[in-house]
Amino acid sequence: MHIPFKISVDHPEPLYHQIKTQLKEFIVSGYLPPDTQLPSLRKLAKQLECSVITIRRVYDDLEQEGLLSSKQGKGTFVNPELTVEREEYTYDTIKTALDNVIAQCIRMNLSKDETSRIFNEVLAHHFNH
Amino acid sequence: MGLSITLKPSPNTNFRLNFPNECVTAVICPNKSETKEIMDAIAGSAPLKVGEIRFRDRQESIRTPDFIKHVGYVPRQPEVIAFWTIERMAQFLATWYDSWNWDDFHLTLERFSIKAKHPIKSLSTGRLRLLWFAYATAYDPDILLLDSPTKDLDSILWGALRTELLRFMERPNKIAIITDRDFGEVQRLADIITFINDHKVLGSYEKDSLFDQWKTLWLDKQPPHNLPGVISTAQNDPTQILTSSFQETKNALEKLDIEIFSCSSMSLEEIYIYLRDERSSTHAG
Repeated sequence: MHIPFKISVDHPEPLYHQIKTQLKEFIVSGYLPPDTQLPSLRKLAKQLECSVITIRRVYDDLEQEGLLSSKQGKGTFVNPELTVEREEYTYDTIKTALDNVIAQCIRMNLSKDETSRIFNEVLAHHFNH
Repeated sequence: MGLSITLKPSPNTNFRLNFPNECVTAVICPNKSETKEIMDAIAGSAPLKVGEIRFRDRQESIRTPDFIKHVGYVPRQPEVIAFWTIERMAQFLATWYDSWNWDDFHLTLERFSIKAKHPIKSLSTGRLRLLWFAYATAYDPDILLLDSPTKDLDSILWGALRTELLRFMERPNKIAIITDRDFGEVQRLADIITFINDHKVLGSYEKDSLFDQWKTLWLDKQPPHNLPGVISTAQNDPTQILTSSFQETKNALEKLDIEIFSCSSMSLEEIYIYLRDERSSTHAG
């Protein structure tokens, strides 16, 4: 199966974090429903052109967090027993993204009104069509 | 746990190479004869003196048939008995290896679109290397050596070989060691990168950590000289710096309120040159 990751070695975030965050989002958003089999370590490493060591670490950590489960000899699956607080996760994810945007506005010396104007323009662009 | 080998290029020098289990390790060394020497030594077919070998926590002797049967070797230029057919050569090799699997061998040939009844001499240099890959993996070795696998292969044939290599690595507890001058392909394939120059290991790194830490940064203002992790500053642009410890540099920049406008990973070539020159200057000093 192909999971549409978007990662880059030129990104300031380490590859491990990029892959883990995105895989978590795919699971929590329901894009990868419970009991979905994930690609083998080597297949995902090939798709992302990253090290198998990184993928193993991501799978191990998400298993520790209860999002994945591995079955001996069968592979890695989205935990079939998974119940997530989707709303809480969505709120946290979006808030973190907006925090970064606002921090950039402050670095660029934009006032609250200027930031708000740009924000409203972007909202209108995406939601008024 | 994996393969660890000490090579002794001269009585007074030796260097140790480690190849972890279930990983593809790329040996980066621009000197072709040096990489061939290393590959031949691990395959047990080189005059280069070999010191201690530890394979899966057991001490081994490299030229014993027991150890050689663990190793599959795809050399840069396979030596062929030109008038034999592909099948005849396979029959000869199969007598050496109890674990020879004819089904696997024929399946690999089929995937490479190579016909077993054809004479070996009918193959192009690139296809000859594919054939050797089929021979080298037919007895399910634990260690697979590939010397310059991209050489003489067009992108389609190289894609076929890469797919088969990854299929091989899906088997449990395998080790692959590759050397190639095409650093881009090495970067795509490898899990571990080991830099070697003049019979010295300059460094061995997990690939993603390497690219996470070695970066070129563009800043909004000139940083102080003693910034942690910084290995060089661009001569014509003091706001462009190279770091081998990105996280450390980034934390220091944040404290100084210096913004990173942009960053990109350094290339394997850049990293190799830095490590080589640093080693030279350390020795000269």
